[in-house]
Amino acid sequence: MPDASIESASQSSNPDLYRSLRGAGASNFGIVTSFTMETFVPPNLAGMWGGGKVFSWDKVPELLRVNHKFTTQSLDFDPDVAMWHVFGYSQGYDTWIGAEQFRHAAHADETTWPELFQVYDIIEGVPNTTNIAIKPLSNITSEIAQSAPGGERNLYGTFTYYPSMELEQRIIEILVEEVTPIKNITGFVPGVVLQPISRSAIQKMKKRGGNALGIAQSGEEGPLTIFSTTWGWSAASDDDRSYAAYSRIMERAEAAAKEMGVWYPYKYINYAEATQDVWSGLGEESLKELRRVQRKVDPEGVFAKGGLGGGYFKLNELPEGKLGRGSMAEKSSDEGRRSGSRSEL
Amino acid sequence: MEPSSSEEVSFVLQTLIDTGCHFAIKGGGHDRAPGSSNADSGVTIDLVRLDQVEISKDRKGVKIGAGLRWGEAYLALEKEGLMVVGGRVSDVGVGGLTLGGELITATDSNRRGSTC
Repeated sequence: MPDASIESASQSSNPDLYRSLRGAGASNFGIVTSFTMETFVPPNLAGMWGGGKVFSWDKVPELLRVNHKFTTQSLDFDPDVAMWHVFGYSQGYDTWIGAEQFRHAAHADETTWPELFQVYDIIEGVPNTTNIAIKPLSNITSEIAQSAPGGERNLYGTFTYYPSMELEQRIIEILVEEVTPIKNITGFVPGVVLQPISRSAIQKMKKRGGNALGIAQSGEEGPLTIFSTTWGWSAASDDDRSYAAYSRIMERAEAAAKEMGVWYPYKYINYAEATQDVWSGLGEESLKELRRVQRKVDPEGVFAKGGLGGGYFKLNELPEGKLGRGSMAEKSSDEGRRSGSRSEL
Repeated sequence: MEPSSSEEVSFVLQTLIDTGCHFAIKGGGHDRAPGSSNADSGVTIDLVRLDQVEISKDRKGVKIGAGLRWGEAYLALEKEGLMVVGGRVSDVGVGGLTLGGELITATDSNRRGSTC
């Protein structure tokens, strides 16, 4: 706890803290040292069916069409499926690509595709880019980690929208327009990731007293899609150009979503860029409650903005007269924090 | 600092508060923004030693240390033929993903919802 005491939080003990911890970020309520989670026996003990396939840029209209159908129909039909979509520029090949990732928790034959994914099997991919297999989750997740190595500079930014092919088409046009003039930045890996969230996943967030996410609270049924940038580059000297293009994409994509009436007021905190407002989308009541709980467990403001504990997305300011970071003899260097985010793996 | 129990985390935090020292908490360290997982001119509390995976007797629950990354947690659970709903990328930390709401998962969130 923020006063250095040790407590547990669950639905029966500290329920308001428990609820707040589920989604309100890691920097507001103290230090969690362990989590107790529900286990289950996986549908296929051998592992999960999954992998990816890369498509050339001329396939984008077709991909957007089948992706939309997947989000709005298939996702509710089979609870074992998941997928996400990446559109981006490959500097190595000087070409634009669409990359699809597929997961099926139960499909036990790696020589066939689960019914709902068969349409992706039919669309012609870039040769030798399909890597479907059944593998333990530890294995599949480390392949994804290797495909995006750390140590480079990178930025994520996010917003949420109701499934819309028209918006996705527009997002891709914006991406190409903003990336093309700076596509030669050293080590540039620019793209957008679109990830559908099913109705049933949103529904399940209400389990065990619900969570602090705006999505489940508002009575929203979904499905929804989470937009994020995937934006890596190598040199500090390119920070300004890279950040400027990123900012314009975020601004233009969100504006387009609002214009089309498909913007949804929620930002996933784990994909949010440090300056994004992740709180206002929760609604006034929910935010008030989170702020109340934060102040209650941390009256000294150790985890408040400007308090001793660092991090972003703070719910409350440091209460007046309390000891904060500025009180230290040695001033921490907040300057330059915003000059291009950098990964610190 | 690398505390290895809740008691040691508590001791470290109390000391930092008493001395008015700026600190940051590091789980998997996957956050991108400077100052998320480290404290410039301060102390980084690295949870890397909080790495237990304790399966309950009835095998229906598991206690996972906040310093583990998902790949490590999955490996330990796979040996027991079990799984949890968790992250999609092995080097992302259990703590940060879970506290951020764990919206995007690798496993069965359609059926089971999010983790904790």
